[in-house]
Amino acid sequence: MSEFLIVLAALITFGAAIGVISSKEAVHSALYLTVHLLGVAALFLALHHQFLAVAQMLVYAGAVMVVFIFAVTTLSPHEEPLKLLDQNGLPLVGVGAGIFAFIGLCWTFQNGAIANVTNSTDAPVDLAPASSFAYDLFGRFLLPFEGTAFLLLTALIGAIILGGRRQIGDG
Amino acid sequence: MTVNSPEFFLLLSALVFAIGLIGLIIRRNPLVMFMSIELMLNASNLAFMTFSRFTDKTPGLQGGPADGPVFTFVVMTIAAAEAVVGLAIIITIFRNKRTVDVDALAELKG
Repeated sequence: MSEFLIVLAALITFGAAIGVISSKEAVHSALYLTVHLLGVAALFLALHHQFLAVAQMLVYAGAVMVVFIFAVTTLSPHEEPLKLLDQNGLPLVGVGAGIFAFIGLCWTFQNGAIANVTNSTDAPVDLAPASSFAYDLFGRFLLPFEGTAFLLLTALIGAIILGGRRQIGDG
Repeated sequence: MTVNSPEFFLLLSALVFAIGLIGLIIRRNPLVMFMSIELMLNASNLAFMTFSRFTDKTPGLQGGPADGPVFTFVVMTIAAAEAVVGLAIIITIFRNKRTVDVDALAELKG
């Protein structure tokens, strides 16, 4: 992937993330989030992993966003007033926490992680084949994989119980 | 800093995480707060993928090329489950209270 496309995907990802938290209407936030997720999928492709790029598009930008947009359109389509600089300086606290997290993450990456990262960009790395990912997923990581299946089943039952009308007992 | 370097992707990841944190704190709509959590999860996914791509794979060391992607896979699954259950909870709250403002949910306040 050429550098221009990577920079473009990064800018789209960043701008859409800004749009998510600054839109007045929740529907616009949801659409910005979709754009953001597609940008992240493009970045996954730039990081040489096609399987997760496709999974990101199908699962995240597809399925999860359908649930989000359903919820947004079901609840309160009215505009939320962007409360800036009121309520005990909450925005200031938020921006401060964000800056703090950013600096902390940069410090951690720089001191703990970058030291172990080799700059292997010169080496000709072909796309990671999905087969090797599948061997690891169903080999060494079989237990976590089955755990995700159990987790999804639990979430399914929980959503049914939460969403279902009470018919027995309290009516 | 070149484009195809770990620093570039990690900087973007940290920025998106910070944006998600800011949105989680300053927004009062629980749906937008959920989307901010998704932003933070995606930022961590991006960091996982970056480390998986750029870390030197020494054969003697523990870990393989799929460690980061498997983490990303699990995070995606958890995000899907979290979105479903969380939105079901929000819809249930809306059914009972007719509002989705998190500041209005203060019954437990002493």
